[in-house]
Amino acid sequence: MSEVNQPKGKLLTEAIIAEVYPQFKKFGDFLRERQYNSASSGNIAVRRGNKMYITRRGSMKGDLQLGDVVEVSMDKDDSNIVIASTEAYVHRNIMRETPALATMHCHPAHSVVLSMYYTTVLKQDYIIPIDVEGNYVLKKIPIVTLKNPTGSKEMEEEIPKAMRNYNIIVLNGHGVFSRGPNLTEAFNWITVLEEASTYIFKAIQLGLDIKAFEGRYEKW
Amino acid sequence: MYSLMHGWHGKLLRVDLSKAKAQTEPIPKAILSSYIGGRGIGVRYLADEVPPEADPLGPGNKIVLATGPLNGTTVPVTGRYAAVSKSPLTGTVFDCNSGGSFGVYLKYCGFDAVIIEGKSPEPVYLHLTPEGASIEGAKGLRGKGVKATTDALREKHGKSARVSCIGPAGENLVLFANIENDYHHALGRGGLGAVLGSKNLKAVVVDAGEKAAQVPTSVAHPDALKVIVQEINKRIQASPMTGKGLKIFGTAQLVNLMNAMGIFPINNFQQGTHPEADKISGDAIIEQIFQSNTACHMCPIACGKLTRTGTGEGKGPEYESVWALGADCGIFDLEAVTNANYACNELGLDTITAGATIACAMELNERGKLPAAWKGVDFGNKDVLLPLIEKIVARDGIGADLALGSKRLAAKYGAPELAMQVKGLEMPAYDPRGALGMALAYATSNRGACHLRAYTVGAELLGLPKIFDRFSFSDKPDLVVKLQNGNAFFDSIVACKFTGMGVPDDYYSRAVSAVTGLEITITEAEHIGERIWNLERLYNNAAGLGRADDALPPRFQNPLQSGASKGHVPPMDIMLNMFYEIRGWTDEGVPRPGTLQRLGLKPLSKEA
Repeated sequence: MSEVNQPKGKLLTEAIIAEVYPQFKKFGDFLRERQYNSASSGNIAVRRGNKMYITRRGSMKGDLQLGDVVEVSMDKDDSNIVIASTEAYVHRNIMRETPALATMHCHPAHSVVLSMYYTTVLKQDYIIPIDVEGNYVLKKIPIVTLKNPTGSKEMEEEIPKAMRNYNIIVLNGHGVFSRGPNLTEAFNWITVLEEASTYIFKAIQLGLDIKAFEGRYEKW
Repeated sequence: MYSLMHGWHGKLLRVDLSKAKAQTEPIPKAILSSYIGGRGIGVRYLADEVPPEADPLGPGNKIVLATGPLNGTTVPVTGRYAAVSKSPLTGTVFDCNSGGSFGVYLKYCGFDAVIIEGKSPEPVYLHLTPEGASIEGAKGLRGKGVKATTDALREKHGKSARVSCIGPAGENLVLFANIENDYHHALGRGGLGAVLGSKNLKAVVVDAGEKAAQVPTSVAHPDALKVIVQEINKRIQASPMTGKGLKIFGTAQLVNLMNAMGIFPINNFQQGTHPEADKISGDAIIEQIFQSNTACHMCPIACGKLTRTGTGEGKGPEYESVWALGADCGIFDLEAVTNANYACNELGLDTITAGATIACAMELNERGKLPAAWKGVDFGNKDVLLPLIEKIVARDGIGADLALGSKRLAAKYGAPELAMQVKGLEMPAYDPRGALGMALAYATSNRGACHLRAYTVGAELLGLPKIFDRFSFSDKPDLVVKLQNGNAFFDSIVACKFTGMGVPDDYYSRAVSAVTGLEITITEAEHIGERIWNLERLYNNAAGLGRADDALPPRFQNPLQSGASKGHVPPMDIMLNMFYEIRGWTDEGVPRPGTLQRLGLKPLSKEA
């Protein structure tokens, strides 16, 4: 691209999507490989200036097409909002209210089931990993419990708030939301959390006292 | 009023050199919580007290030396301090930040900041203790270099005293004169040494005495801070950059890496790679001239390298210096480059601008733009380095032209396009054609072309925290804004940015929360940084700068012809438009009223 040949308007959108789509495709494939989603659950989003680019509602994350990348305004609703992901408002608010430039949402099984276990059995609204990597990287992961944990106004308000000081949170019984400066980082948090959750799950199965392995991160 | 304050002392010292008077005054809590310290409160006071049209070298300019809430605590890499003034080189608001231990000893004296204003009729220095301040005569120090000045003042006030001073370059008002502290550490780039020189202030001595006399920094939550400090140290140790690379090779570890990536500028940015770069690399420094490591106060990284050549000894050269005085001038002789670096440090000159201005002169000469007096100022001629540095400092002959920096030099000789600068500040050691984020970072930096406002090299080349595509454009405006805001906050807590190569960005906002007792999330930290960035922009707008000044030299619209970055140019208009949208600025680069309201700012009046 040269200085004298710089696209504007629709052509600029196309130029941005040309850069964004390969990344969405790559991380959609990763989510499928790791079985973090059902066929069309989860979302991938990035911020580019005053626009957000997010996966289309109902798109299959393991088979994303160019047309599955939807541009919506960061500042106001536009007509594309009707074809964007159901959780578009949550992603947009995370980008408005935290340093996020990329966000991801998916349903990794161990993290989701642990959110239920921690809140009902341990009466604790956060997870502290017990493995070295999880402890080193994540320290503490808040569990957000909502009355309406799908496509709700409550989600749009509470999840961004919970992520102001955390890169990843678990929405109780639903899934995880992560943020980062790019999708690689947002995806990384998810993989580390799910691995940490798997260790905790297995430790509980073996009858280990998980409290004995947690770091001192209650106040992190 | 401030007895319950944690992190800050809540007090500044105002020194009026015209009246030979120094007095303390409280810093309002709202300023501390909104601007934190260092760069933030420095910019706030400058914007309030120095008119944007003020002559940077006139008595109406002021200079603020400021610490932050973490200075004096156990948090690693917090021995630094900041200086803020209006720059004589760029005409912009200008902050710089230096390591060593001067900053923490300033805080031990019980001051969060010192504002220096007016002009002394005679050369003086400022002596600070926990009991107060005095202005002392400095006639005997006139003309002395940094080492001699520092030695003389420590001889007089004791070895526990810390000294920040100017060399002959500052006295002679060279527009890129530094202030140097603790012998080897520089408040560099924008010519703040000349601002001190214009006030006849040779040095500031902080004399906090023995530990019992020092004013401690109160910590709100010591237990929480202990955990955070442990985690920061763990990260610094584990990171290959902070735990290994910087410790073993220093910043010059980047030479071979940037050369391989094709963004190591050669001959005034005419190429991006050179087969002899290894001769001035971090590896070569360690093999040939290295003596020992040196560290700033509370720093486990110890990136400083004390070195010795056949004719001198000192600290460095750092990556930027070895590039500016070396590769940018086509010189790959480590001994010659190191000796030039020693000379700049001792005389109080900024190495980047000194080297880059000489490189500009070399290209002007190559193109036949200079008269006979410049004979021999040629790329690759190592023998001209030391004589040119001495001429710059003395403002002697062609040195008088060089002492004004590359923008004024190239304009004088009819080829302004050959100055590799933005807003009058010379570009540092990364060719922006090989890292498109750096192109936008240079163009939009509030203090001119600078790698420290938004170091996208970390994301684009080093993978920090995770790799970005260095040739993509659409993700760079957001990245640059995020880094600019984050760094404005970091410069305000006054910690070393090198930790960012190993420590996640939220750890330091957690440390500030633990020390001050305020709840500052990483989100709030970036918001504070955004406020500071916009206040700086308001100041620059009021000084007459706008969109036209957010531009790179025309050279960068032509791709490099060889190396790993060949074939690319940054699409500046698109990126700049996106950048302004994100910032909430008009198309001309002026913050909109809604943006100011959101950040709690008001437009600046011309009469500050």
